[in-house]
Amino acid sequence: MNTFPFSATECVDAFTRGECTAVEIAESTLARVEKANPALNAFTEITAPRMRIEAEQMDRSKRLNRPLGALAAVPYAIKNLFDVVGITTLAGAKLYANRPLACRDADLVQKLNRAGGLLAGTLNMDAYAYGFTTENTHYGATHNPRDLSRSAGGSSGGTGAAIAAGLVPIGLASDTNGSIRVPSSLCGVFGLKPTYGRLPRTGTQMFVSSLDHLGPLATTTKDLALAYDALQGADLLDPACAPRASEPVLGKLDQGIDGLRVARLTGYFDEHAGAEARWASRAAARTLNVADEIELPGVAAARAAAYLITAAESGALYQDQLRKHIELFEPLSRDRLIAGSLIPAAWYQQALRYRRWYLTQVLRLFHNYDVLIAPATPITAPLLGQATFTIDNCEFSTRPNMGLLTQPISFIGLPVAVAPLWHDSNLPVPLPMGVQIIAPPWREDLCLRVAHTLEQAGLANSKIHRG
Amino acid sequence: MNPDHEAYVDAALELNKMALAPDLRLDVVKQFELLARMKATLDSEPIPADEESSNIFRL
Repeated sequence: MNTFPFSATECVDAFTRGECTAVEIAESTLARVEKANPALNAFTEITAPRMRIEAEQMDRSKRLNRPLGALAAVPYAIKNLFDVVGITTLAGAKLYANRPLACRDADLVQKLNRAGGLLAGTLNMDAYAYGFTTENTHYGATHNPRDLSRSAGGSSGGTGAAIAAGLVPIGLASDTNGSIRVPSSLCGVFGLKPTYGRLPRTGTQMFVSSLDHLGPLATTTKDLALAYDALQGADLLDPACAPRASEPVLGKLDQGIDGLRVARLTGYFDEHAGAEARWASRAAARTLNVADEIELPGVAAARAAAYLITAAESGALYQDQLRKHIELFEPLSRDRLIAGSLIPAAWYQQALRYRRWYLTQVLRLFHNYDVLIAPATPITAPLLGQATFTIDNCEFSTRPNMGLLTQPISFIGLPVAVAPLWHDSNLPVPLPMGVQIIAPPWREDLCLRVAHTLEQAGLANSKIHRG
Repeated sequence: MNPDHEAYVDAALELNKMALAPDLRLDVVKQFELLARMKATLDSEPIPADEESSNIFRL
């Protein structure tokens, strides 16, 4: 299998040059998934029949000299909150196990397929997307391919694990408070949480509508840009989706960072970062020749507001079902959902008012800087079942606090790329640590240019083992 | 545990017709305490009284 192309870019090149067929790529992907998934529990459904049909159609299109898409013959997989025709959309929840099969693909799945992608399957997640560790009581925990005893992060842990294990080169995920960025950091792959409202959420299971984002994870920055460009395009069926035209980024990756004003975030972001996280933020700053360090105003309150909005909106979404079917709910989060459903309206309103104020303050910083960098997670991948972690003698509960550094950013919808760095630690198995690369609204291109620069410099790398 | 929070949770559960097993009720009270601490953190950063909310926002 090692002779087959793996990255999305390699797949497109090899397929279009005629070095391999789409069916061969699909079969090598399915063989990798069958072999590795039992240990990882990344996939909840393997869509082998569909993938084979899509691959045959792709080969036929090539034989007939029809136009091939930007993702021609590229395998991909998706978090199981995206609708896939003929499959139950679980969103990680037993509550949804008996809902009707989806009758059409989610908007973003349609876009990847139109671009030539081959769907390999759906991926595990924290129930309802409420969690940062993909420890799912009903569907099992997803194991981190870097160390099977550790968490892959969450809530998109299946997506992070599938890419880090070399099963698929790109995957789709959602990010409400960090669910793209935390698995990217803990599994050591590249991820992009676009601007709030950039990618339509039509055909996906909502969690916290005013914070829910969708986006890709990938093996390389080129693959990430390739996927992101294919995903762009407004769909006004999603009321939060902005009516913006596509703004492709792939062609901008090599523009470098000359002239970009970059600053490293300190204060809250250093105080809530363990040794590896602080190292990653500083190593990225050194590589980018960044000297400026700044603090965001009111970050702790922003994280608190994001926490309250999450609790209130998700609690309201599920209150009726909690009343009727409490026995079907995930034991690891049902207490949070119930408590959230009881929040006084004044608390929620204050959090929403704070969001407006905080956004204004942060946007002012972008008058002086184009890009901000910060660690993605407070620590490297925790052990599965690890109840707490410690930073500077302060103890934190693991599951709610892996998003300490991501929540204050997604709270105001800014675009963020994550680049995986590797600290030369004394651990027997090296563990990655992601760096967040944050830009003003609608400037995903800047996030990806900086991530690409770190990759080109040899600092950021997904270290995928070609299985 | 703050008895005011505990009393609030019990009243809100009753109002919303949610009957919980004792251990789950206790977990819910603990989570509500955490939310109350988050509200206190939020209140530690005063903002202008006329700031508008942003429940559905477009950047």
